[in-house]
Amino acid sequence: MIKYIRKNCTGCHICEVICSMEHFGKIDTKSALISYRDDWPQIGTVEFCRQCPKRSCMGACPEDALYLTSENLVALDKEKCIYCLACSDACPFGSLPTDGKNPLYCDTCSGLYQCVKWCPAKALKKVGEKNV
Amino acid sequence: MSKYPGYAGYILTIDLTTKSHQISELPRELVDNYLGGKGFAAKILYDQLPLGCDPLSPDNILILAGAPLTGTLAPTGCRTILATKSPLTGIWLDSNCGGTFGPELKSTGFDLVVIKGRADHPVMIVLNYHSVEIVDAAELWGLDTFSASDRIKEQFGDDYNVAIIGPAGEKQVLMSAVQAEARSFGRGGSGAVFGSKNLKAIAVRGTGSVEIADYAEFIKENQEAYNEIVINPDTGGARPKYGTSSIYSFIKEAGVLPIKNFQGGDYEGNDQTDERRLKKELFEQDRACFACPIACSKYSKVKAGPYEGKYVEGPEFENFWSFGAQCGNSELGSIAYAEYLCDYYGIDAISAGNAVGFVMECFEKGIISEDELGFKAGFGNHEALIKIIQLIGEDKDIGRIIGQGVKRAAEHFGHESSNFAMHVKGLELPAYDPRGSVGMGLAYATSDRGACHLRAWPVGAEVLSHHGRLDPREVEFKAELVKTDQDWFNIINSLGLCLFSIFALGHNQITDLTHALTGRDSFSSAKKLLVIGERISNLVRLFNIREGITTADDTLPRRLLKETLPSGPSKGVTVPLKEMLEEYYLVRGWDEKGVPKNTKLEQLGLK
Repeated sequence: MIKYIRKNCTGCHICEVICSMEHFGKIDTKSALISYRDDWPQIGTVEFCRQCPKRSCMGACPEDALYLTSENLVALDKEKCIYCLACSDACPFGSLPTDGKNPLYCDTCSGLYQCVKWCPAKALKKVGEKNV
Repeated sequence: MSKYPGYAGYILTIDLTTKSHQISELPRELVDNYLGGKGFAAKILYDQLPLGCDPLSPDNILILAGAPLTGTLAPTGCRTILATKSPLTGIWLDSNCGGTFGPELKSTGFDLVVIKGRADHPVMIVLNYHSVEIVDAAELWGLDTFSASDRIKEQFGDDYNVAIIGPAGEKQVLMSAVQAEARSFGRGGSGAVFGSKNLKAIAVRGTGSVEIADYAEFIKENQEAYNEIVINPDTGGARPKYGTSSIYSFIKEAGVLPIKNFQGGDYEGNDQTDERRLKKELFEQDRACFACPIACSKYSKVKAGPYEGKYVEGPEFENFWSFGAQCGNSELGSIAYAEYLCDYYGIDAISAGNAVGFVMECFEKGIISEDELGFKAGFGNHEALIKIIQLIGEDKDIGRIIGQGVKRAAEHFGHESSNFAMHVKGLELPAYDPRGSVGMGLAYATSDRGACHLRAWPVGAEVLSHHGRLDPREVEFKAELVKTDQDWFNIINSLGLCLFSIFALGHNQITDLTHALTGRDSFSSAKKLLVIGERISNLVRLFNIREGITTADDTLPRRLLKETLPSGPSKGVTVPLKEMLEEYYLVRGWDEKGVPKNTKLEQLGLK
C-alpha cells in the first residue's frame, strides 16, 4: 500500500510521468494510474488507488466489474464497467483517477512502486517503509 | 502520432482574422537544425514575419513553441517559449514560462502554435488534441487574469491550462505580460500583442503522448540527472530552501545588487533584508513546476503589518529586488503584494519594479512633482509602489506613461532622465549591477531581446563560482564567456529545460538526455548542440539587424558607463564595455559593426 504525505508534496507531476512510462513505455500522463490535481495557490492532492484492505469500491460496484488479481490487488474488468464511478465515490481516500471513462487502479508496478522511487519530495511512501 | 520521438509532431497555424487554421507536420529540417522552443520560433519568425511590421498590428505573429524535453521525465522539463516582435523594444522577443502550461500544450499534439491576424472582437483559443476552436471571449474582457482564468475553467473544465492576459494586456500596455497558471511569459510586452489581436486567452487540454527513442537509456540518464540535482548544493540545497532568492546575500555582498535605481548607497532596512528574512516572514509552502525536483517556487502569505493576508506565488529573486532594493523598500508585505498585482493585471514584474524605481528617482530629483503624481513617491514609499503598479495595470495617470517602459517615459519627462533610465534596447534591466560583474554588462548589451539575465549569466563565474572564477572587474575572457553562455542557453531554451537545471547538469548530461529521448543523430554530441545554439544566436541577430538594430544599440545606460557607485565592493567601477564588445564581435565572427560575416553564416548553414 502506498501512502500520500500531502505536506511533502510539491505538485511536480513526476509520479504521473513515471507511471505512464512504466505502463505504456511512453509519456502519456492522461492515462497514468496516478494523478496530481492542483489547488492553486495551495498544493492539491494526488489521486490513486491505495489498494487499501477496506475495498469499499468492490462493494460499491453495481456490475461486479472489480476483481482481485493473483497478487491480491483490486483490478477492473473493462468489459463490465459502465463508467458510473460508484467505486470512486466510495473510495475512502477521496477519488480515483480516470482515463476519461474508466476508473484507473494502481497495480504497484508489480511491486516496483516507480512513483515512490521517483517522487523527489518523499510525498509518496510504501506503507511500512520509512525511507525508500 | 508523431514521427519523431520527443516531439508532439505537428504545427498549428491560426489566422484570427479569417478564424481559420491549418495543421501541418513538423518538417524534419526544422527539427534537426533548430531543435525546438526558441530555435523553432526563431526560424518561423525570421521566415514569416513581414519586415518592419508594427508589433501591435495584425501583421505581427505570435508563436507558442514547445520543446522535446518539455512534459517528459527530464528534470525541469516544463518550459514553453512565447515569441513575437516586441512592442516594447521593436525587436526579437522570446519569453519562456514554467509551470504546467507547456506540458499540457504539448499533449494537444502541437509543438508549435503560430497565431496571425486579429480577431474583430475579443476571443479565446481552445485547444484539445488536434482540435481548435475560436470562442467568443467578450465576457472575459476587462477581467483580471485570476478571475478570467477561473471562469474559463468553470466553463470548459478545471483540467484546462490557461495562458491569459489581464487588463494591462488588453489596454496594450507595453510592459504587459501573459500569465499561465500563475506563472508568467513576463518580458517584452507579449501581453500587448495578445491584446492587439483581441486574444484574451489560450486554453489547452490534451490527451496526446510522447514516444521515447531509447527507453532504458532515457531512464538511466534521468536517474543520473536527478542524483546530480539532489547532491548539488544549489539545486539540492539553497534553492529549494530559499527559492530563487537563495543567491540574494551573495549578490548583495559582492556589490552586484542594484540599489535605488542603480544609484547605490543604502536604504532603511537594507541590513536586515535577505533570503533568510524572506523565508522566515513569508514562505509557507514549496511548489514545483512540472517534472521539477528542485521546487524553488514558494507560496507566500503576509502574516502581519499593512499587507497582512496578502499572498503570492513568489516573491521571486528578481521581484524581491525590483520591488525591494530597486525602490529602496524593505517592507516585505508590499513586495509580495506588488508581485501579486503584476500577476493580477498581467504586467512584467521586472520592468514594473525597475520603472517604479525610475519614477522614485525622478520624484526625488524634482523632475516629477507631487502635484503631477497626486502622491509622494520617494524611495522607500511602499504605498507609492503599490499605487504605481495599480496605475500601470489600469493604464491611468503616471501608469499610462511609465507602463510604456522607462525608455519612452524618459523621453516624456526629459531633464536628462534618460541618463538613468535603466534599459537596453528598451527592455528594463534586471537585478544585477554590472559594475560589480562587468561580464553582465556585456551580457546585457548583446542580449537579443534587450537587457536580460537569461541569455548569458557571467555573474555565475564572476561572483558565485568557487572554481574557474573570473575576476568580476577584468575584461579578459568575458567575450568568450558571454558567447558560449548565449549559445548554450539557446539550447536550454530550445529543449524546454529551466536554466536552473544547469547549476547541476553539465553539457554532456543534457545532451545524453536529449539523445536518449529523441534518438536523433543531429543531437548526439554537445558539440553538435552548441552549433545549433550558435545558429539560433546568429539567426536572431539577423532578425534584429533586419529590424534596424546596429552596434550603437549594443550599449548600456549612461549611468553604468559613466557614473560610479559611492560605496561597497563595486565602488569606483564603470563598465569597460567598448573593449569587451569589440572582442565579442571578433569571437562571434561578426564584423566591427556587429553584423555576422558571410563565412560565419555559411559555416552555420544560414547563407
